[in-house]
Amino acid sequence: MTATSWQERLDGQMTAEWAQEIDDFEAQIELRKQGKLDEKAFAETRLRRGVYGQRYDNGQRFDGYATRELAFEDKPTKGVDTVWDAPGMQRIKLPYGGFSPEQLEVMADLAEEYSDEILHVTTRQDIQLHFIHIEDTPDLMRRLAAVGVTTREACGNSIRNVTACPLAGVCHTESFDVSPYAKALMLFLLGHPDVQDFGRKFKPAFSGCETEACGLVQLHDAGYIAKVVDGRKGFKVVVGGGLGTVPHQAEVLSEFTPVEEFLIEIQAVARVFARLGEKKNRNRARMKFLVAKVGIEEFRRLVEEEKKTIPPDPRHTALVEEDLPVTAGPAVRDPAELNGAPRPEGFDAWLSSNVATQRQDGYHVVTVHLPLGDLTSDQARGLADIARRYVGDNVRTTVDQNLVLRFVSGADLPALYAALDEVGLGRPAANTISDVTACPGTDTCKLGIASSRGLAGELITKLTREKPQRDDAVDGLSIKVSGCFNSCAQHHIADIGFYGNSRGVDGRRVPHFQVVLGGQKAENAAAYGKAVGAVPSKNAPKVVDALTEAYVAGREDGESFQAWTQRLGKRGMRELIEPFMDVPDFAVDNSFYVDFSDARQYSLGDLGVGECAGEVVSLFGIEVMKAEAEVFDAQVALDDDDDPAAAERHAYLAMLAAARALVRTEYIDVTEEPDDIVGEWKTRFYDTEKFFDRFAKGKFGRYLLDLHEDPTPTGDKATAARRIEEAQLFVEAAHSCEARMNAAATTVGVAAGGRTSEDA
Amino acid sequence: MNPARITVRFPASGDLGDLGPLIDVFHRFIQRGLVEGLVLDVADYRHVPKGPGVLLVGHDVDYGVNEAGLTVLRKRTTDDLATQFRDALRMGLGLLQAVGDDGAFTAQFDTSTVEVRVLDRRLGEPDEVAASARDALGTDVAALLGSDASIEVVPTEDPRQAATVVIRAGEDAASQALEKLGGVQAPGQSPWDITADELKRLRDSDAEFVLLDVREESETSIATLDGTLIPLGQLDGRLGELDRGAHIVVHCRSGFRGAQAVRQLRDAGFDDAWHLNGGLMAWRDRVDPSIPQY
Repeated sequence: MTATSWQERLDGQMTAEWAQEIDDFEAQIELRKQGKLDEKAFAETRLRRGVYGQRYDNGQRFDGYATRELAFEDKPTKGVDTVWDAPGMQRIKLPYGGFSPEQLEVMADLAEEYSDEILHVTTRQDIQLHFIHIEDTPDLMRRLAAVGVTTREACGNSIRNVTACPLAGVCHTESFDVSPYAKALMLFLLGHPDVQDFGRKFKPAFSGCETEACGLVQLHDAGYIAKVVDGRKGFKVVVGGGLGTVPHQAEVLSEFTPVEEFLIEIQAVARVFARLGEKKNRNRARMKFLVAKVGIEEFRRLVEEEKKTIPPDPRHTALVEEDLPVTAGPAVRDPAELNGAPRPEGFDAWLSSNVATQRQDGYHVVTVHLPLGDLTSDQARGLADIARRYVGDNVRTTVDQNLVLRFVSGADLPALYAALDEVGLGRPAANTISDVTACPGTDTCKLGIASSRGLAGELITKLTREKPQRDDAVDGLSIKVSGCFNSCAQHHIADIGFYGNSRGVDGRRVPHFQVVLGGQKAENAAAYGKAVGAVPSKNAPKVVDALTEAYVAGREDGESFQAWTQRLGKRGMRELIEPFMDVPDFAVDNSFYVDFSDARQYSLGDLGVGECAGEVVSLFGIEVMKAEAEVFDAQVALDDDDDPAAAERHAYLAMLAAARALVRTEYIDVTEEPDDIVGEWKTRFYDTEKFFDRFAKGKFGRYLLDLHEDPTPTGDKATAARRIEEAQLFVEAAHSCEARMNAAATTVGVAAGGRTSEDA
Repeated sequence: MNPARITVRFPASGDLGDLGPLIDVFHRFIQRGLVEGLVLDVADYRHVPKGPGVLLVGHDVDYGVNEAGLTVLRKRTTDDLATQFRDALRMGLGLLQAVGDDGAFTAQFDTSTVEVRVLDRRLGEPDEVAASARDALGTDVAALLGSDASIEVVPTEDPRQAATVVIRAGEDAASQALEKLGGVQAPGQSPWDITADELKRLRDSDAEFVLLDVREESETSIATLDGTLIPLGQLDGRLGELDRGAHIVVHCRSGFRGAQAVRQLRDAGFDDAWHLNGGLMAWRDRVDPSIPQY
């Protein structure tokens, strides 16, 4: 019995264009394997096909005692410091999170044949498969393409998945169903020449209304809120939102853009972003920095000007014509109300948390609650059967890492619940405090600092167990856990958010979580939470207890968690978490020195470099983001909190963090003591003039040396403003310094006739 | 038939209980080289109902334990089905032996039932693939698990499921199979590893041997087995202090330096030099929990 290749089996089952793209990619894999393609060019190519790196693909792993080389075969890399045979991740792009039972079945097979039998739903409505070998990806893509799914531009510096409210088309408060427009935007921009030259990724999102949370448009590069004006369909358009180290709320580009004009408008936005967006410093390359830099009025003017230069394209209007196919698909069952049919055990609890009515009478939206966004291949097949029987094509992913079934007839609810429960998908408590969101974190992500999934798993178990005793006000809160400051779990918009970091204690590293409180999901993520302090990971569950207990005891009538945290203030919040900030000595309790779901002594020894989009991030790149965040905090302290002293402290910390980031490129074990950092930095970078700018010489370096002599805040507003400015310049100078060092290293390599700089 | 990957599964004997301890066990296996294959990391899927449980993920093999049993996934090889089956069987039985030796996870598996799944849909319809697999494995099943062992196609109730065959053998057929397959082939940390239990028995006997500690002097104040101290960095220059004919057991903290030391000794003609797999930390796990972790 011999196998017929997928290329042959699926011949003719996809568009010629998609087939060709995948064949090309397969050829590029072969060329790279033979060393005939540049590694950076290859990395960008594979990223644009959604083929990511994963933890340990630098060929190193900390085994609990030391960092060991993994015994992979010596082959060409698949990107800078990315070992060929190391497992990676494949992201599957699902516009507005929609998929059919047939597509789900294919993904189930792929998970079984190329991954670990797990489909993972992401916070941007994608599905990811982990532990994928690069040589399996062309077949994987063919099998997806044969059912109309692409992985193109699932990653890389391009237009990422277009997300949309999962209730689009069935929601009570929406103006109209945004799904067809989300799809139109995706089709229009996929592979478009104007989106190929971005300095960084670009994430669009759609919402059916302004008041609810579901679209989260405020935290996206471009956000669309459905609006009907004088009987015309259109969007309020916002741009420049984003999370990450420096979160921004999007600003209004247009109060109303009619649907027939929205594609030319995004094309103009893309062109402006490609032309004026930062390209060199990827930490400042997102749209949000451009909008902040030129101001929204100027940005609006630029977009208007750009629109005039765009040649006519029939697709601008053809893709949004009146008779757009409704993506929701027809219901397969007649509408009916839930009747007196016998209710299976567990049904009532599930009904109250996982089922909502929809605009269409007699139909319901059912949330399939996936723990940490995971479902197995077998469950996926079971769900495909259930979907066919009860809802047809109406399955969507959500940004909370769940799935929703839409157009469920009320009369079918008991049978549907029984069928879901049968395959292990009948979990209640969707959208409650125990429905914790988490990014992959240290499990598989190259950037992960602390175990986000480990903490989330711990919280899910604990909060599910405690459900019967819980106050109703607490039950509706949200918890989101990111493994680092990059906010992939969207911790900024949770009531209680966490992001991973690490601290040195007792001569060792200890995994920590920064606590972020008071974010707001409603009104499309209208406000971001504030970081109040870091606690050791193992205390994070106690912090949840302390916060929820204090909230129940202290809240005024009907006061939301967010309003309560605002009333408490940053200081009041910090008082609540302070008792949990200390770490016992290793000899007293070494459990603090091991992360959740792990057995190894904790360290950052796995972390070589991270890659997120387009290019790899060095250790410096990761470290310097802390400095960027400090500058931001300084600005917030001055502008929002009217606290110049705090602003000055943050500015000082920003410079220290940037200096430390540089020092760590040469001396990884430098402590966090300011004297050590400044001393090491001075010896290595200032005295050697490595830090010196060609024109400004040591000017930016002096900012730190002067401030370090006496960092006591003056409390003076003008001084604080100046220090923030200096800190920003110092951080920039650190970036330039690192870039110069890299350039120098490359030059030596070339001059030495292709040998590496070490050889030279 | 050369499938892209297959699984070999041994069902659990009863309730396996909490799988949490396996996280520690699997991390030890990676650190100490106690299972076959290039194993990379441990994935915890305990939160997924009917999910993969706890996975020891590797490049060429995954070992997973969930409530249903132990699954060995053989991957990234172009070998024929029979070879993949023999490898996966040996790997799985080897893992079970290592789990038993470790002692921290005590649940039992029924090795008289072996389910084999062929995960490669290029090969065709599952029932046909399963029939073909049954034919391809018959000889090996008889040779390894005894002539009374049976192999049958598991008819698929759902055509989307992977092709599956099930083998039923006698109670102790599996242990004999492991022997026939060459025994446990885990690499350890060196070719001359001994276990902490073996060192304990050696110490408890009257046999004469040299215990050689190759850690740094500063580490001995944390914990020591009272061996002769020659830090690894000095070993080459101080070989004269040791007798080439002596029975020597080397140890360090976690086994990495010790493995280098035993190689140096063997290369220098010490033909009775051995190495404590997992070092002092393995001694701590198996013999003396009062030793502090460091």
